[in-house]
Order: sequence, then C-alpha cells, then structure tokens
Amino acid sequence: MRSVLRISLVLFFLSPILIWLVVIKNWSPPGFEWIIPLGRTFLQAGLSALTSVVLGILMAMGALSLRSPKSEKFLEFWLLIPNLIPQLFLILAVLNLSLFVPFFRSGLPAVVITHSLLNCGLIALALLRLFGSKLSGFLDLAVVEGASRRMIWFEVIVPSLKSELWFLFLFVFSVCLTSFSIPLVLGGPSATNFEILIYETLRLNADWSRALYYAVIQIVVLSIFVYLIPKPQWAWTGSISRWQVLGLKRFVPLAIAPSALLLAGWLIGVISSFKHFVPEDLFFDPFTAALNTMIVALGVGFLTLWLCLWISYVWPNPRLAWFMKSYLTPSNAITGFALLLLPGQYFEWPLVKMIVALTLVSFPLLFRWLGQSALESLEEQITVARTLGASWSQILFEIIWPERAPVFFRMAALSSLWASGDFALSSIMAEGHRTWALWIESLINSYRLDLASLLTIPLFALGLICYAFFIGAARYVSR
Amino acid sequence: MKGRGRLIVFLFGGVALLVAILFARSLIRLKNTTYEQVTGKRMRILAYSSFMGSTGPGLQLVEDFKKQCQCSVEVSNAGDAGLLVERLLLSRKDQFDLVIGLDQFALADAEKKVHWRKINLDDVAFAPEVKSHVSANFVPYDWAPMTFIYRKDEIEPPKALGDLLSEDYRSKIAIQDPRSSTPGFEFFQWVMAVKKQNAAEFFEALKPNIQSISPSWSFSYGLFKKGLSKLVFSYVTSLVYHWEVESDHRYQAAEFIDGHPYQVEFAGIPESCTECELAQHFLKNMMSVSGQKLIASKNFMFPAVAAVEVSSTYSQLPKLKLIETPVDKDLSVWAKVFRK
Repeated sequence: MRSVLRISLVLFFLSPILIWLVVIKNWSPPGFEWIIPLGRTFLQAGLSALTSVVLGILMAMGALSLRSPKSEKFLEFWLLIPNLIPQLFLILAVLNLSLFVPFFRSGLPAVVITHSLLNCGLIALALLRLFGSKLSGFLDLAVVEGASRRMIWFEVIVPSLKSELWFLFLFVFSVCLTSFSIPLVLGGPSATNFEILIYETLRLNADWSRALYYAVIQIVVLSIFVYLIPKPQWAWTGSISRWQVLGLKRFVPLAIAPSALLLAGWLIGVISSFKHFVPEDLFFDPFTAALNTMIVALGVGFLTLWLCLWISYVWPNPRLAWFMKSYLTPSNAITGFALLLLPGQYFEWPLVKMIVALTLVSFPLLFRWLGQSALESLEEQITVARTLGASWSQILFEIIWPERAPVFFRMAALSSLWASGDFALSSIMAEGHRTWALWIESLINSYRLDLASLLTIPLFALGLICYAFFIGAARYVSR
Repeated sequence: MKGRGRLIVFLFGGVALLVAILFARSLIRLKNTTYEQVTGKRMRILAYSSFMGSTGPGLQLVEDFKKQCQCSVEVSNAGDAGLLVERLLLSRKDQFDLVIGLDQFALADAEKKVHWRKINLDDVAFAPEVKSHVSANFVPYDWAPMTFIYRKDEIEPPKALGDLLSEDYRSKIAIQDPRSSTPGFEFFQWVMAVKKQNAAEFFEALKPNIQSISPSWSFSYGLFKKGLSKLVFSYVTSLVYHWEVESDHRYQAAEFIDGHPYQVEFAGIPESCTECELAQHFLKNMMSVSGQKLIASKNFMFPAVAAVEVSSTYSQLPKLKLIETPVDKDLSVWAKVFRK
C-alpha cells in the first residue's frame, strides 16, 4: 500500500512531464546549444545563492539580538515581505533604488543582489529556526559556560551547520535557476538564461520535445548537485528569544534592510501611482476576483497540506527523499500547457487547474526548504516506533503530525501566499480577469500601470489573509 | 476533540468547502447559460489573455454577440499570443470554432499546420495598410505601426535607426526580447530589414544604449512609464492612451526616415469548427463599425476597416511611413550578438 502511494506521489509530481510524453509524437534531441545558457544560469544562481547565504547569516546575527517574542513574530513576517511583492513591482522597486545605488543598475551584480534581497530573509529565518531545533543544547551550554560570542559563532554554529548551510545554498540555487524575468531585465543586453531558452524553443520553434529535454537537463543537473552536498539534519521548530546574547546589535539594521529597501521601492511606486492615477470606468468585479484569488490560494494551501500528509505516511524512504530533494518542476510554460491539455476548459475548471499547477510548482521548493528536514529529523523516532510495533497510521497521527504540523501548516501558508500573487502560470490557464493578480496583469498589459500598482495593496492583503488563515489553523490543530 | 480529529475535520472540511463553492458557482453559471438551453448552440473561441482581459474588447464583444445569437459562447485562453497556434494544435480537433489574435509571424505557421475555413467578408472595405494582408482564411481586425515612444521634455527623438547608436541614448533604450515577445521580434526584424547584412554590427553597437531587454512589452513599457528608460519600442497608438486617458501630451512617437514596421492582428476559423456559421457571424460583428470601434479603443490599435473613426485622437497621431519586414523566425543574428 505504501509503495503504491509512494509511486503515485512521484507520478503526481512528474505529471507535467508524463502528459508531454504522451502528447509528443516526434522527438528532436538537443545539440549543445544549451550549454552556454546553462553555464550562465548556473553562475548567476550560484552567486545569488552564495550571497543570500552570507547575507542571511549576518541578518540572523542581527535578528538574534531582538528580545521580545512579539518582535520575533513580526520579524518572521518582515523577512518574508520580499516574497509578497509581485515580480514586476519588485523589479521596479530595485530599479527605483538603482537611481541612488548604481550597483543595482544592470548586469550580473544587479541580478545577484536582487535575488539575494529576495532570498536572504528566507535564509535568515531558516537559520534562526535551526538554532532552536539543532543547536539549542550546544548554545545553552556555551552561553552558561561563558563562551564568547565570537567563539560560539565560529566554533559552534558555523561548523555544526555546515551541511545545513549547503542545503540552504541549494534551496536558493534552485529558486534562482528557474528565475525568468529578473535575469532578463536586470542582467543587461547579453543576459540569457535557461528558462528563456525553454520559452524560445516553444515560442519560436514550437519544439515541445526539445523544451522538455531542456527541463529534464535542469532536473538531472540539480540531482547531481543534491548527490554531492552533505545531508542536513534539522527541523523548523523552536524559539530564538533565548539567545539574544549571540546577536549583534549592529547587524539589526541589516536584518531589517532587505525588506525595508524593497518595501520602500514598492511604496515609492505606489505613492507615485496615486499622483498619476486617472479614474476610468473599467470592467471589474472585485468581489469575484477576490473570491477566486482566495479559492486558488486556499486551494493551494489545502493541497499542500494533503501532500504533506501523503508524504508523511510514506516516509521514510531514501529514494523518495532523493527524488524530492532533486526534483525541479519544469518551467511555467511546460507545466501550464500540460495541464491545459487535460479536459476541462470552462466553468470553474481553470481554477482547479491553477490550484494543481501552482502546487506542483511551489511544493517541491517548499518541501526542500522546510518539509524534508522536518521529516528526516524524525526518522529515528519512526524507526523506534516501528520496532515497538506501531502501525504506519499511528506513526503518522501520533508522531509525525503532532510534532511537525506547524511546519506543514507554514508550508501551506507560504504556498497560498505565493499562489495569491501568481499571474505567470495562472495566465496560461485562465483568462485575464479571473483572479486579482490576473486583473493586475491585464491592467499592466493595457498601459494602466498606476492603477495596477495601487491594486497590489489589496492583493497584498488577500495574500496575508490566506497566510494568516493557515498559521492560525496550525494553532487550532495542534492545540 | 483531539488533535487528530481536529486535523481531519480541518483537512476534509476545508476541501469540502472549496469544492462546494466551486460546485455552487458552476451550477449558477450553468443556470445562467439560458441561451444554450434554448438553442443548444455553443461557440468556442480561442484567444490570447489580454484580448479577453478586463480591459480588452473580448468580454464586451462576447456579451453583445450572445444577445444576438441566442447561443452560449465559451472563451479559452492561450496565454501568450505567440502560443496560439501551438495551443490550437495541442487541442482536440474540433475544440475551437474561432481563433483570435494571430499576428503576421504566427500566420505562416498557422497556414502550414492547421486547415482553415474560407471566410466570406466581401462587403468589408479594409484600410489600405492592411489590404495586402487580407487572405481567404484570415481576417485582419486591427493594426498599428511600431516605433519608439519618448517624453518630449526628456530627450531629442531619434530620426533614423542609426541615431539610436548615439551616445545621447546611453542606457536609455528599453526593448523587448524577440525570443519571448512579439514587439521584440518586430524590432529585430525591423533592424534586419533596414540594416540587412550590417544588422549584427548594429545590435553590437546598440548594446551600451540598451537600458533593458524585457521578456514582454508590458514589462518594458512599465520601466518606461516609471521613468527608468527614456525610449521604449512600442505602438504609435500607445500615444492614444497617454493623450486621451491621461491627458499627457509629453508622450510622443519618434518618426524614422527608414520607415516603420507594423503589427497586424488576425482572426481565423479552423476547418474543424462545429459552429462555423456562428464563428463567421462573430467575425462579421468584429468587423462592423461598432465592433471595430470597440476593438480599436480597448486595444489601442488602429481599426482594420477603412473610414471607421474611433476618436479624434487617432487622427492626430503621426502618419508614419511603413515598411514590410521579414516574417521568418530566424534569430541567429540575435543569438550571435547577445549570447556572446
């Protein structure tokens, strides 16, 4: 039973590729044209990941010196802000900043810095949780014994977290590997990346088979990386407020800066939009758009929870662990069109497809970031429970879920937050006014950037409602 | 209730609630499709996303048509206009009765890969600029010349393609990537048509003046609107939005002595259509005076039918010299220069 469920789980994630395997009749293997774009994408993703990790460590140092539990909660939200802003506005924010900081302007540094601003908060957040889950004993002892802050950082924290840092590097690396607009717009005239090679192959050559080959190449290369890095052992639990002594107050501004910079850049855009905004009589049903956005975002959150439940039941398994660590969902166009090929074009079906597609794209990344380590850290307990005769469903409901429900609910919250703002994937499956984000996109497509900019505020609020819903639900379920 | 019970209630309850909402809305929609219940007719249109978007003409055209035909109309989205033909090819053979939004670059592919039904629109007097594009199988429904848009208080406009290489435009030009954007492709083919064998050198020399190459027109226009670039490759009809809606006459179009490329959008009826007469009727509506006015004003493009006056702003736009550009999809020159 468990092996059938495991296989079906893998098949679910591979479904975009499998659909294309059925549809494509003529196969044209690629030559070597992908090597240069792949090399460049790797360089960009590697540098972005490295900078994000370094910046994340410094931000964690600053964040540790914040004392109250309230500020801890606020910090978590604050560090995630860059992920809430739609990508066009994020790029506009960065470009607004480039007027003051020339480094942001163009080329590889601009791409790397933007990716770092986007991801360093996630890294800092993960590190803060790691202190609670993996290092709490060491840190308590070191603090009690009176070890210096420097000694604790360089002789305890960094060496103990080597494999986790590699893992976080890999997480950002895989996010940046599939980044589409940022490298293109900010990368300068010669910028190219693997995603645009895939898009070019589809749009100009209509060669789905070759695009699929490229997507598989991406997955294979990432798998090799996963194989090479050490295996981390950690979980997303614990509080940070015990170790303020390890924090460095001078880094507090750094912990706040990335979100503040992007938020400021975005708000500058919104304020200038207020000035230029011209009221017009446009077709718009805000209630339906908001409802659809909530349906999609909550649907993605629930599907994420169900997948967590599914994976938890079939865990542990080394092959599944390897698959989940190395699998990268093919590009938006491949995934979106694969689902478009399935029956159901009208009524509410596009919303259902959006839920599935957005989950397919966000789940592997979130699982790699949060879920996998949370499950791996319970493997010993699971083995003991099995030895004592516990059934798999007992393990699921009495060990895994009680201990890891907050992690899974946080994954659901994040996936629903991202889903609420998506228009790249959604626009393949639904017409341009179904969700709030699609409506914003259609306004941008018709010159109304100012109105679109203003409408990002309610979108932001909708995303936060969905996020808060799952975080609140986690409390209800684990009470 | 214990944690396990609460979890199960939450997971099942949440999904059940979402399914119930979706189901209820489907029922309401079904109930509202009274026309189909009366006549049993259902026309299916394939269009790109912004045509059917909240600011596009599609929704209004469909609503008006429903009242006339007493039928239901379903619209499918192809996302990007550049993927319309692919979307059509990947669909079930009889899935669509009408395809809207093909451009001249997609036309050759569309003609080659799909069988199309002959369209009878003899009574339509097409604008001279699109007359040469009318064929038995495809109807042009709007068009617009392409050029660089600028704000007159910011820079002196270029007058020829060669002027774009001037140091005055260092890091000021926003263009689109031809690999992912039709306007980007127009720009590429424009340079190819004018510069011919010197196109690669031109692109190489243009590099320092490029502020950004965006994946889409909307992206690059957003950068321009926010003042981050000073020149953007766009439609001359973009001025209508600024002049008419924003009352901002700083926005102007550069006139090039080399001539300008232009984009034409087409509609066609696949041979496999099942409601072919309805599709033909819908096309007639699109080409009627009211349909053309609606399309032109919502899409900010010129009408394809002669003597249709959309608004006085359209007649104030500069009359640009047009040139024909190649429609083949060979981007090797671009790759040579920009993938170095």
